[in-house]
Amino acid sequence: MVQPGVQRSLPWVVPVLVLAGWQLASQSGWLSTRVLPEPWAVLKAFWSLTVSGEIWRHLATSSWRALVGFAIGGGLGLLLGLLTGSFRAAEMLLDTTLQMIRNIPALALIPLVILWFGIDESAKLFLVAFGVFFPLYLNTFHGIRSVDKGLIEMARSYGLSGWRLYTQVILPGSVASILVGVRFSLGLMWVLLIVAETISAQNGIGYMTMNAREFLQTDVVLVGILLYALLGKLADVAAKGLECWWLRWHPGYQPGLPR
Amino acid sequence: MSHSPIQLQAGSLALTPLRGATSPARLVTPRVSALKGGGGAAVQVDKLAKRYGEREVLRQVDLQIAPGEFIVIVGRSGCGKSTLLRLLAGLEAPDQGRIRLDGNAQSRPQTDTRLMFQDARLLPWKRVLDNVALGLQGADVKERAREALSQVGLADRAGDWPALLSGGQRQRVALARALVHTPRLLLLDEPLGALDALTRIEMHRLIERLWQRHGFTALLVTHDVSEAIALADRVVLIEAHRIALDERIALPRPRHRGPAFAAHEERILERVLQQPERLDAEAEASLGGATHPVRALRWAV
Repeated sequence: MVQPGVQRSLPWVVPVLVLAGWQLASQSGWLSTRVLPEPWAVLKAFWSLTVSGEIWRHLATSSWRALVGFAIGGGLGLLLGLLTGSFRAAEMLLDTTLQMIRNIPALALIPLVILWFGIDESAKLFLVAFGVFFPLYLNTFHGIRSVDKGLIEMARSYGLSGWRLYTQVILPGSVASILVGVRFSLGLMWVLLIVAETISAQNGIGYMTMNAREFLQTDVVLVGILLYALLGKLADVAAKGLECWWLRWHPGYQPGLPR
Repeated sequence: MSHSPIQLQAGSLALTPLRGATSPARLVTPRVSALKGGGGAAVQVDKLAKRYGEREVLRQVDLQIAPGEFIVIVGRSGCGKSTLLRLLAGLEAPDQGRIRLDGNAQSRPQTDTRLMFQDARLLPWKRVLDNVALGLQGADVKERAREALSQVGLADRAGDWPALLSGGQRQRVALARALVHTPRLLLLDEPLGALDALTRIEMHRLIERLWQRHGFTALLVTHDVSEAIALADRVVLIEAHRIALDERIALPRPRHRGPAFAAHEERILERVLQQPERLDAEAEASLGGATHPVRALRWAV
């Protein structure tokens, strides 16, 4: 058996080795600073940005954009998914249209979005919302439709119907699938935000990196990139936390049980 | 006189509480129960017919069940026995004929009919106690659910998730969930089909005890003839979409395997397997005394 301490540190072995190799390569001059600054320089850039408070400003703006966009797009996706999943009439009416729109890559809309919204906040929010809408919509729809028919039949025969059937059987039965949609959406959320911020912005992490590129500040560019990685990981941890809480009844999510 | 070793073993196992089970004394609590039902319902089925598209499932089925009677329906798979149960539960509507409970035409949401399914169908996202309390309304929901749970010997698992229970425990929770509604007609659709032999014996005893205590009318569907004889007042055989045999089992309860048990089993089994030419000779031989070990084994598999 592996020791718990070893088990916990195991995922970090490869990142640490990469960092060490990178530092060595930079120090020995094998890797030019123009290509990639040494990790130490990145750390220093990070520190000076933190002290000046600049990084917090960008971080706050980007996080706000991401969350608001996610709330709008994800909320709509969830709502429409519940609607089309629950009512055949809504599916007939809306699903074909939504499937057509789904096949448009969000980034292909950028020229149109700039024409519609200019380059202010609403353009970025629209792009994020558009992108995160579909994973949530599809997974919610699928989740509702794939609730065990036997359980629904059982609940009906035990006198549940309408709202009680919905909240006690159908919704809990589709939570697992909805959460898969949430995780997909969270991943997409950052991708879309990065693109939106690099096109046109006066602040945000994307703006910070694009600005640094103009002045060949590769260390700041790397800080931005690493921030995105960190934020993405953070979003994923949050989604996992939700899964652990909402799916605590699920054998696959119970700690200490043989899988 | 010597018993076969297999028979002895089966008999002693049936008397010993199994691992994880509570003793019979705790299973049936003597105090006055809040789960007192209104006794059993009388069921009358007249000329019932059901078809799915072109396929005929039930044809001209007539069946009278007295209040509190325990009926076991046997038949090969696909003979329509489960469909009959689903019709009685109101899950499906008959194409012809009618079903009456206590003389009243059966109406759709049946509050005094409860169905136990082949799979327990517990909601995995509700804890055991909340599963039992499903569909209950009122102030004392939790107490009633807790009492039903203790009647099936699972009071200590009230806070667990269903995923942590064994197959037999799940069916006991499902049984508690049905009983908590104090049904007057309990329908059991092969609820023991997926359980191992020992758990089945235990479940037979539990179901029989709860049936005797609550006095509901019980209708069990099974493909296991010995299970039928262990539990039934009447065994009804459905064959080719209609009732082919309706036999009263007058053995004293709780039933133990003996010559008379084996004779019933043999006769019905022969009938199911459609070997009528051997029926009389075999039945007589069995009634004469010696049961042979192979038959004793059969009821456990």
